[in-house]
Amino acid sequence: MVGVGMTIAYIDPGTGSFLLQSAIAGAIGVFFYFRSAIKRLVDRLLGRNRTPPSDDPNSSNG
Amino acid sequence: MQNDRVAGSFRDPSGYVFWSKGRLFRAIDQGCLETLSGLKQKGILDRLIADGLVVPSWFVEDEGLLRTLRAEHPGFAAYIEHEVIESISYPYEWTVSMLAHAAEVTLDLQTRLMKAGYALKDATAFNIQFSKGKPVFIDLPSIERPKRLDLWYALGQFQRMFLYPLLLSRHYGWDLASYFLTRLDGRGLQEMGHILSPGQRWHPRLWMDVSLPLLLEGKSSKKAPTGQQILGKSVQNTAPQEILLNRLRSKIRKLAAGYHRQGTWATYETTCTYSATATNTKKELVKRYFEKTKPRSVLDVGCNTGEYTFLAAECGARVFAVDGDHDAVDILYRRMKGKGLAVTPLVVNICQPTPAIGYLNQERASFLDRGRSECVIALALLHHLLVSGNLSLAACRDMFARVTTDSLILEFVPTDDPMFLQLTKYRTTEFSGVTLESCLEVFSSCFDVASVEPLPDLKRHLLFLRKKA
Repeated sequence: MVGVGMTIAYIDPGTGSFLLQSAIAGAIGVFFYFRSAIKRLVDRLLGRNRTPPSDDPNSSNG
Repeated sequence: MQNDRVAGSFRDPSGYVFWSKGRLFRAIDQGCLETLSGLKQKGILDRLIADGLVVPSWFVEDEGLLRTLRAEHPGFAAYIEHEVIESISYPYEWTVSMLAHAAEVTLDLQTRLMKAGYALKDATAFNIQFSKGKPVFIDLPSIERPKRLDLWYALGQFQRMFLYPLLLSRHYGWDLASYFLTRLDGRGLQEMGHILSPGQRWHPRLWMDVSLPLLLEGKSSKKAPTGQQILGKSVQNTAPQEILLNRLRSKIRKLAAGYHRQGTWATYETTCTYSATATNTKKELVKRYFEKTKPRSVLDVGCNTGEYTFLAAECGARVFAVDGDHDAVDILYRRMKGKGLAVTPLVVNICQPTPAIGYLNQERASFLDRGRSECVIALALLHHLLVSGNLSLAACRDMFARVTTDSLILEFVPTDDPMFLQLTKYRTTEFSGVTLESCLEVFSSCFDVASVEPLPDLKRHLLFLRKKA
């Protein structure tokens, strides 16, 4: 019991939420990566040009 | 004259808040200056202030003032002046709606910051204060420029400070004072696990915020990447965090909307014993007194849903409205919407006001130290203090003398009043010594009696008292 208590005392209280959040963010990131990869592939197969970079300064990442 | 550091401002090493000649300043270090001046140059800081999310704040540029501040608080890169919020309150005194609105402001601010490439590194409810009935963020050094924009580092703290207390009050009958007063940082995941039974723990509404995080926390191994490793990676895709913030926002709204009111006093105004004449006379007398004396600050003790609170605020006072009944105060808070009045409604039982608490017992001031006002009003309250609070007339007098700096409007309720009789129905305690005369005599040691006005259709009287110098 002491061991369990000790373990809990040394876990940062946000650990579980943080790990879950990272896992979900990772999954969403992978989804976005594959979505854009598939889009690029489809574009290439259909012989479409990729959208040229926009001139709108608001769309840049700054 | 004050040159003091604010007692609650010491945790963040990047600076602190202090008073100087009645004005409120914040000293900040180089790192914080770079972040905040970046926000300012992009116009983001000013927009957040204009939209009411952040307390009005500006960099001190006056050379003379800067010299003074540098001499008083040396070693900092810059100084920011904050607009003063007069009525300081804490989450353990808020209602469910207030905590939910504070949570929404935190989420709105984080969303706006995230879109600009910034983030809140802290999400504590103590970084929010209520100004004119609206929550505002007060802790600028909590803003940082994170490497990853897909994650929100402060999520765990947001859950502890906002989501868990709202979950527990909505579904498990908790009150916010019980939640916060013994855990100023909120209750962690492990404790949530202990509070909830195994059956409750796996309810679908808890999956994302309690059940799954608990499972992962238990399974987190030494091989798992550390927080620093995870946060060190640069990610610009904000989509995952946007999804997270939207989920939290809709959950907070649902919890606040679903809260069931159960308070005794929330329906008092429709069930009390006043005739229309008595109510109108009472209102007219109080209003005339406010217009004549023009108090800058008023403390409405036993405010209920705020009839007299609004009267005081409309006469130009900043008002602390307190009542021990959560639901009455919650109704008052929601009635304030859009009025822009300087009212701070709080759940405080005046017989046991919120203590000073935190580091050295000084981090968060007691209610009595924050609530002192030029005028205190205590209407239809005396019988509750005498019977339910078990206070003597002398104890009531001393308490009112402690919280008012100038005047007191006290409604005297005689022992044969129907509400007094209802309270004492099953009491054996003798209240025959409580008469208008004895009340005036007891109060006269601390107060001068300005006037005593009878209320029609009742045996009650309004006492207008001035504190002796």
